[in-house]
Amino acid sequence: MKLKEALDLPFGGKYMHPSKKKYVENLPSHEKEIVTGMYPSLDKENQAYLELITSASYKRSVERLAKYLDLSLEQLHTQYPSFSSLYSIILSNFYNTLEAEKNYKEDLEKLAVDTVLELPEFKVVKEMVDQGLLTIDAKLETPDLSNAITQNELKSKDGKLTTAEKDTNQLAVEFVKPELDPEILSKRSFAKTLTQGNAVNKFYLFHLVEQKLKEIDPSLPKMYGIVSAGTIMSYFGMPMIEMKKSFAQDAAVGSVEVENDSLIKARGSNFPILVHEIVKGIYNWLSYDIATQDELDRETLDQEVLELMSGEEIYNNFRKLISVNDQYLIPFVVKDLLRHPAEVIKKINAGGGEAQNIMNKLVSRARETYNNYKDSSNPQEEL
Amino acid sequence: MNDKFDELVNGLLKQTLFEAPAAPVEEPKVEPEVEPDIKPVPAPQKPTEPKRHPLQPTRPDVKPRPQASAQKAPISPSVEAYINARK
Repeated sequence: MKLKEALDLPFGGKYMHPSKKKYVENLPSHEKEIVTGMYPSLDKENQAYLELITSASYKRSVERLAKYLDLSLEQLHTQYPSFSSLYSIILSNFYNTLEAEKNYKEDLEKLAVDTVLELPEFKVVKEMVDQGLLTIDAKLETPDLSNAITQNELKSKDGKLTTAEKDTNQLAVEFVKPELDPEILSKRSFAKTLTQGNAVNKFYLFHLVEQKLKEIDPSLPKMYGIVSAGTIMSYFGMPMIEMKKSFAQDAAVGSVEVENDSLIKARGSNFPILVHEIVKGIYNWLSYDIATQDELDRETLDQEVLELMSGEEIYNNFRKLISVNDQYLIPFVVKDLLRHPAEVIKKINAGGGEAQNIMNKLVSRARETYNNYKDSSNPQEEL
Repeated sequence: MNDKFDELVNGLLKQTLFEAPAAPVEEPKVEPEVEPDIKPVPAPQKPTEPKRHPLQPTRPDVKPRPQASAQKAPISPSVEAYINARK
């Protein structure tokens, strides 16, 4: 059953590149296999769920961009009839933020970490940082993607085998059960989509420290808004291309890496991007341990495109199921949910009464886990 | 008579010089009463693992790849060139 007609985008989705529309409407098989495990109503004939959440994320980004440019949606589409026409204004604002920040880097790096950790959602993460259990190394610097991989590289690795290696590879394919568990791949994809969605949401945290930013430059908050909304818009507006490592490194404005189980290394070109990377790093740190090294090694930069285009709606729907007073338990809920079968994640994504019932149980378990940790000398047994 | 006397004296001398005198009987010492030690004896410590936080990753042996942001964002000169080329 088709829930709704394809992508539903304001003003005909002028800023979404046709190749991106096509991509969402006809996912390549390797992507589809992964997301089918976590999205409801997604099968060969029906992509409605993905189309709905992508449409909602797109709409929100366009509305934000219009707001920061002091334009109505109609004015935005009239003055900037295509994504390319938006490009120079986003670019000039980006460079202006770099110029305004250049003498305040250390202050802004500290402010970025503090701003994230002051959120109720990260209350317990802050406790861990204070106790030395987790370190967040945040710098306003060039992104570091030396350890990342693209789909292109992954394919060429397979293609560069010698004849003997190809034979061995063929044998492995035929007789050895691959170590990649589709259930885990789906759960990781959900975790990364949730992460991207949360981090997109947190682009706008600069509003919480607007006064401090205005002391540096009164126009910083507005410039940050344009750059943040524009950065997200670019995921919709840019053509769908097979990414190369050099392209990714040149175009990247932020990166984050979990260096070991207690260090998050975030790099961002400017303040909102650094905040965005810190949030991504925390969520990746919370979720990576459900996968094996082989499964983690297959995660490419290309996959982030879809995760980013659909993530915000996934995160918003997820967060709505948790009351404001329980926001501090979200990290526990995420960790616990990822230990359940992907079918449970699917039910959460579907929303409604069943999703709420599951979430209530997860929140209750999260509270118990946290309280047991605080009270007990051996919290490990409690989960 | 003298012989008997000498015998007696020699005997006493011998006893004094060569035989250890009997140890004096000491009166038993009365230990002063001591307050009982009320501190509990610490139980032998079981070797325990360091307290782990429930949010800490459980697999330090694996490492995720880095994630990027806005890798297709329109804010890099190379992307600008790319977009212009496709206009």
